Formats: sequence, structure tokens, C-alpha cells
Amino acid sequence: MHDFDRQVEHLRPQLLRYARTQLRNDAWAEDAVSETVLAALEKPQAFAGQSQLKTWLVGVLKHKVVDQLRRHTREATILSTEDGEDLDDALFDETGHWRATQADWGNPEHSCGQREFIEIMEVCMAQLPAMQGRVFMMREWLELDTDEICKELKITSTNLWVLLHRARLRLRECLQQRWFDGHAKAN
Amino acid sequence: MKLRRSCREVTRLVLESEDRPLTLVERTALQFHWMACTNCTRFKGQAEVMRESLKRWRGYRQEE
Repeated sequence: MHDFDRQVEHLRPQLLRYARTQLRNDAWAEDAVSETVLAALEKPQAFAGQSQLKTWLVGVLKHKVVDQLRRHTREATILSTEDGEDLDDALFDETGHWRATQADWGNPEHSCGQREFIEIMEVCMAQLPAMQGRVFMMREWLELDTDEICKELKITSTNLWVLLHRARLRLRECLQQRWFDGHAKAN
Repeated sequence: MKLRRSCREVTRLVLESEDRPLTLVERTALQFHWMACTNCTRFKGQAEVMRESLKRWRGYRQEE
């Protein structure tokens, strides 16, 4: 095996992890990563070496995961029961007021500067219901705008806004529970 | 022009502002609401922590 091939193979597990959090389907993730690795091994000259190998591979992977989403649009847009759950009613009363007091998370520098906090956030993102997770990652990892996401997944903007709203509220809830309740106070 | 918004509506707008620019009326309504509401001001802070953390997370994914 050439050095280049070995380096590419070495990055495969990481690529697979990224693909999984985006696609939320192991088979599609395997396909996207295989296509990425194959593209690299078939055309090593496409990697000019100006950027890090990983940066380049992730760039290719981002296109391959979108290909997978296009290929599986119908399955990728099936809402699970969890996807349909709304946190709004749990958070607000009938008059639209907060039911419970919101916690002060403090200065962003304090929490998000910590590696451990980012890792917990990754766990929280991975726990989002599948469809919420897909649109959220398309927005935050692939950095597509909302029109592009609607187009790729063939969903209405109303649906997308609801999903993003739910995903962000869930992420907030998860961070509150896993980080700010308890162990942040110990720091 | 609707300036008075409930906490529920304010929360929706704060989250939507991550994905689209808000209109002038919406931004004014938020400022107006935050002046009088501690919970929503804290929620705004939480959204900022999430935004900064996501930015940092993207950076880690790029470098590590």
C-alpha cells in the first residue's frame, strides 16, 4: 500500500462518523465514505497537497452525503414519532409564558471553550430524532441555506422551519440537562 | 406592526434568527421584549452559547 493510500484509510473511521451523524443511516454512510475514499485513491493527483488531506477528504465527503440524501430523499424525509414531538407545549403555558425559569448559561467563552462541552454537544446532536438531525446537520455542518435544504430534500419551508425549531430546542434541552444542571456548577 | 410578542413567539424568532435575517419589526419586537423579560434574555444568552459552540465544533472537525 502506498503512503497516500494508507493515510486515506487511516481517516476512514472519522469520515464514517461524520457521515453517520449527517445521514443517520449506516448503509448510506458506508456508501458515501466508500465513494469518497475511492475518489481519492483513483485520483490522488486531484489532491494537490495545498490543503490538509483531511480537509480535502471532508470536502469530497460533503458532496457525497448530499448525493446520498438525493438518492434516498423519500426515506430520508420520513418523520418518526419523535420527530413530530413538539417541546413548545412543555416549555410554555397557554398564554405563551415560560413555565419554568430559564438558567443563565453565562459567558459563551466559559463553556464552549471547553473541549468537553463540545463533545457533549456532539452527543446531543447525535441524539436528535433522525429527520431533525439531518436538517440540523445540513444547516450547521454542510452550511447549506434553508432554500437549498428544502430543494435537496423536497420538503416545504414550513416543514423545515418546524424541524429546525424543534432540533434547536432539543439541543438546548440536552445541553441544559447534560452540562449545566450539575456539573457546570462544580466548575 | 406587532411589537408585543409572547415568550413563545420571541423564542421562535430567536431560533429563526440562526437561519434567516429577521425583519426590522421583528428585531425591534425582540429588543422591546428583552427589556422586560429575564427568561427570554437568558434564552437569548443560551442561543449565543450554542451558536459559538457550533462554530467552534465546525473548527474542530476541520482541524483535528
